[in-house]
Amino acid sequence: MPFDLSKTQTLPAGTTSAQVLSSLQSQFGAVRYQDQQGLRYPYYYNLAYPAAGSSVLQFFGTSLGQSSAQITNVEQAGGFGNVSFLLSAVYFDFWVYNPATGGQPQSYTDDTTAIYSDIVHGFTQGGVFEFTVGNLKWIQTLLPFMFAPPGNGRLRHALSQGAFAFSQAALTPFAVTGSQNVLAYADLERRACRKMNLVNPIFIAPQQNFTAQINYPSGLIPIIATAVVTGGAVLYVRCCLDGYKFTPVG
Amino acid sequence: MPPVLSQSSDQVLASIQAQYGTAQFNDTWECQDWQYWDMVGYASGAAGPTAFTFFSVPAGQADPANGVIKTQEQTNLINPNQIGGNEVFMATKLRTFALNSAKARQLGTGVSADASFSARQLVFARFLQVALSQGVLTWTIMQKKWQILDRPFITMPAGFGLGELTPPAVGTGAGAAINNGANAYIGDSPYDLGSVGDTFSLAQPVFLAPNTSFEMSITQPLAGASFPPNQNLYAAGVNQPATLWLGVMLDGFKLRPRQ
Repeated sequence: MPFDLSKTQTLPAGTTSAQVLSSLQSQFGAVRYQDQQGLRYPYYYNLAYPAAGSSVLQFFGTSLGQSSAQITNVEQAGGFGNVSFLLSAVYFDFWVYNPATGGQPQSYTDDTTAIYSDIVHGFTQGGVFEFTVGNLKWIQTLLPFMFAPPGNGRLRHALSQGAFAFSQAALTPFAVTGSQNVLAYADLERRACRKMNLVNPIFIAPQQNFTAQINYPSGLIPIIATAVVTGGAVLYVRCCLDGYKFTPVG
Repeated sequence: MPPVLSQSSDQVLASIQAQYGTAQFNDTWECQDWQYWDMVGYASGAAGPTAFTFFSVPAGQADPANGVIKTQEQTNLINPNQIGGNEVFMATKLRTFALNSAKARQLGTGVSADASFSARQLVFARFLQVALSQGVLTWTIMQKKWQILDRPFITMPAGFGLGELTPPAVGTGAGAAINNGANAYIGDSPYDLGSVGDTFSLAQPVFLAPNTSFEMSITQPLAGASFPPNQNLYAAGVNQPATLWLGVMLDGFKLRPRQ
């Protein structure tokens, strides 16, 4: 029921304050709350993996304002703020931050130097991810780095290996007399189809709180490749809640 | 409306529920993507195990093979042999997998401190190739054989796992342990494209009520045969058995009353 502030003297009987606010909003509002626009909007959180491991990795515990966009893009810790969100996929990733003054990550065979060891024998080989809204668990997933891997493409890699040396004598088989080290490489599954696409999307209303965490109740899993993650280097694990954000038309 | 003689007890309960129920059982149900999983320890011993029984030891109890107290990481079933709780479950896929414990959780002496652990995977890969190529999975629901399928780790693969990798190898130094610079890695098939992936899709979902009892096992029923022993897999000079888990996952949808 629109009314003109400059002309309206009285309101009809039964007019509610909500109707008045709605009318004012429609005429003068900076935001059209009655019209929502949706856009794909992955929310992410990068968490520094503790060197000794942790029984709980808690994602989305701080907001963009409390940290930086390299860490997260949520505007409210433990929630999506004043927007609605339709969660349609969940996936996890990792990356190593090396400061400019730090050594380059190595791809060698020793467990203490190759991040390979952490991917094959470390933090990816355990954990249960839980996504809880209010008091209700909506997602519970085993081995999240393998069951819900990043479905966003992969770097092409080509490793060039050294040749083997052989010797051969008459009437004897080849004998390997020397060989080169083989560089280690491992990654998470990265094809788009393999991220955890929810058949039943989850709608989260504005100001609803949620928790997203990986639990390791069977024991801590420390970082193995300590030579990679010392000297200021940080192993980050990334949780991404992908879906559609709905905001009022502004 | 007071009950009348023609009403069945179900109708009376439904009426009471509709008026006073703390959950809307009859009106609105919610559906969630969900998985139930269970892992069993790979028994050590020179003879090698012949059977693995799943979903019978819930979290909080010790795995009978390796003695590890099971947590949510090994199973999320609360009750043995049934879904339990207030939910029903529609299983749409069966996944099987093998999980080598993270290095820090290997029980063998010295394994967690072995700096060349990654370079010693050849023996373990050979072991997995044998172990995962055999066996028969039997799924029994309420005494009825619901599924019997051979070689489950091949025919019902995990559909998840790591991506591309090249295992490390060294040609000198620690190379004695890894066969002149050779190494290997074996993992579960990670291909899952929904209904057309490698995972075993149940053409018709299997509906499990909260107290529907079921059993699942993977056995080696050949006379005198067994799965390979998990001994001497990490030849770091101390020949260690691997702390290995075999797992089964029921993938599908949990349905519960809206709250």
